[in-house]
Amino acid sequence: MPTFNFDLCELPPEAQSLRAEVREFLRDALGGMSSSKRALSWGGFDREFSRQLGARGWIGMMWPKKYGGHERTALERYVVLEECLSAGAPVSAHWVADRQSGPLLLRFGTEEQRQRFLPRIARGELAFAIGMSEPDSGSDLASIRTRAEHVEGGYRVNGTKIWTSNAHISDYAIALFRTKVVPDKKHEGLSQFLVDLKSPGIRIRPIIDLAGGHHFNEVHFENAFVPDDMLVGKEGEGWRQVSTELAFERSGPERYLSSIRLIMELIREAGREPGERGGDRSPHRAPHHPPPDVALGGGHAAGGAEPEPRGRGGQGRRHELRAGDPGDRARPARCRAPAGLGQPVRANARLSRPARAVLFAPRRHARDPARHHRARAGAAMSGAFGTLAVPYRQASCANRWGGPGLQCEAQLEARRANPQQERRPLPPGTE
Amino acid sequence: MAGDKELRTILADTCSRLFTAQVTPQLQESAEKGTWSEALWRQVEENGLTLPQVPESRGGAGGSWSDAHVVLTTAGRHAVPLPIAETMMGGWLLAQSGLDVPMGPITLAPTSLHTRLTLIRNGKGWRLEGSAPRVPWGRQAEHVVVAAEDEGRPMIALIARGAASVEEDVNLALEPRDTLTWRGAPVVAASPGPSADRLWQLGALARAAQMAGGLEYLLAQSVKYVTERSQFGRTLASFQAIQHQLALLAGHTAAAGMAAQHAFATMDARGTASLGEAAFEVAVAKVRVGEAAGLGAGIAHQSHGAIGFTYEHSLHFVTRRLWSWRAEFGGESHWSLELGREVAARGAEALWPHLTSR
Repeated sequence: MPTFNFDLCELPPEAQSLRAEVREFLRDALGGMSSSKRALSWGGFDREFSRQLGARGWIGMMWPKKYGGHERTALERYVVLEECLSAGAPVSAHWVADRQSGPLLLRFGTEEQRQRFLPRIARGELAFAIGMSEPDSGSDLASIRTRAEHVEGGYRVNGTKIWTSNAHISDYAIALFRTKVVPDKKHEGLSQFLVDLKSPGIRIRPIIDLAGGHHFNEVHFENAFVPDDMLVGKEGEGWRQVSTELAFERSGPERYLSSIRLIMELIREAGREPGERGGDRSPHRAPHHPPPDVALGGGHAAGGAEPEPRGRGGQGRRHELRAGDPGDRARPARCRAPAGLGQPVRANARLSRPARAVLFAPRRHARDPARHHRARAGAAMSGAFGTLAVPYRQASCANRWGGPGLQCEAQLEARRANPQQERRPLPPGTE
Repeated sequence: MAGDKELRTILADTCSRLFTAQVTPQLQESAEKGTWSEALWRQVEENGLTLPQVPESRGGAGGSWSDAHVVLTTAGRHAVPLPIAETMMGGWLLAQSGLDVPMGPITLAPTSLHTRLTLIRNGKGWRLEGSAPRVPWGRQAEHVVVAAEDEGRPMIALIARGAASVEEDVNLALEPRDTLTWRGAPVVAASPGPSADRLWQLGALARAAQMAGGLEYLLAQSVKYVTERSQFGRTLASFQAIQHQLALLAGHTAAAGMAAQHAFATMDARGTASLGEAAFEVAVAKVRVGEAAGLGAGIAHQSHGAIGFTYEHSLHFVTRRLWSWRAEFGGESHWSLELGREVAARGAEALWPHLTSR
């Protein structure tokens, strides 16, 4: 019987002591930063913070020392990511470069490119954006039309990229362009380029999100010139390379920690002994969706080999959606507890979930409306751990389960926008 | 650790082979009609699968909670109609209280938080007074491990079959859930030990692993079915809507499995103080697995269509257990409430440090 599970693993002592060190640093560096700013999660952009983190050696942690890296383990890097996210640190100015642009250059870049870019990324000095989606090519990425035509000494680029997070404040983008039109073979003829976003011929137009935030952009290329030495990897190999890059993008702890500051606010709201107020404000359905993301992400971390994005999607994204959901407030305030468990257990199978939750709530709370509210608050507060307790520490090796579902889920995940998030951009690379 | 892991792989293989060979639909059907599967019980016991985590000095196999996890998960996957979980937990409670563990099937009481059982001194020994509803396998277990009180002091007592009057009932999965009533019943042995709350916690721990195993079955069975069954000229598996459902099931199965495994690992890590120390993880497991069980059973039935709704098909042996087990020893509401209180009492800033210290 095929199974789909992961082995538990313990963090090694060096990762645990690093956690304490990072936590202390963040406490000092972030000081009295507001909750709402922290809630931006990996959307907060602060070059000074990124430089400080780089100075600590916490960017490019796994890269070779000769490129400015620190040759530390994947689990050590993982701990730094977790601590930054849980503190709501403004990591956006180095996040993409550390997560995917740097690793992509390490893997496919020329020696000259590695020496030129990686040390600066590791110092927290270079912010990267991702140029993938186009106005008519979101989910169907391989249908992109932005052309890079070879001219003397480089390429002339014409076209438009969209949903380009942080393009307006970043230094470079790694973009996917069509270098050759191969009829009926859209995955061929694609190439990746390092693009200096300050180049002539590039115009960046903001796209304001539903909460008024500016992270997304439209990036127009009008005869923009990209020199030959900025081609990443091989011309025409862009599709294979970009798939690798997306795996880097999709295998970290971002998803399950993106809502932690919101959950902490809920706990604060509820108070030490949650009462009716806490109950009314609580997302009842948030609690029980701890995603297995960290396990899959941990596969990346523990193995240090190929990251494995499969299956990351559903649970993590569900958690994000649920945590922001005000829940069903229409739950009846008065409810009756079961007289005996025999019949209710049978009835259980037919009842909706809220009804079941009420039915099986402890009797003493069910009889007293005020206490019932407390019960609701308590249940809601369990979101605080429910969403987090399970994934945490489950850094483990991803089992390459070959069922049909997960592949599909990962694809869906890579395509779906999430309209319910707070003032935070979609993860770079999605539309 | 690698050695432990290998041993557990061997243990998992042993369980899988035994249950695959013996737990047939015929056996399950006959158990549902009330027949006790004595031959299978004997094999399970002879293979040392009933008391994996009980010390050898008390009659157990001297293994770990992680071994217990393997056995319970596999038993859940195969919907084994025997009180393996109850025997395991009852045996451990006896050993923990300094009592020897008898052979044969054991069950637990009380299984409701609102039931109080009382020990009454009787010369050098005790007698048991009280009534416990919904005792798993109550009519068939040779012994009952009871969490009772002796003048307010928590005690673990061992009671033989026949000491109680039995009112038979079943759960949705047609597993025996009987009301046992003791009126001055004789007590085989008793000793100060874990409270009824702790017994409940052990029950929740066991059910979490069993349900996680059941979910593994649902996933495998659903994947198998949709790749075999064709409609509209193609296999069900080629429909994206079906793939999406299975992806959800796979995600929940993985998350639930890890939650349960983590709780058992914590029991091992915390040593003799494990029950109180693992309360957090046990609650997390019961909540997470319980939710997955509800969603997972729904998805499995949806993928199977009408055939999965028949008694003839085997899917229901697992789905009915998931629905039953989900409610036993506290459902998500109960454990969420416990956890919510704990998290709120600790305060917002303590959330992450607490999680990372576990």
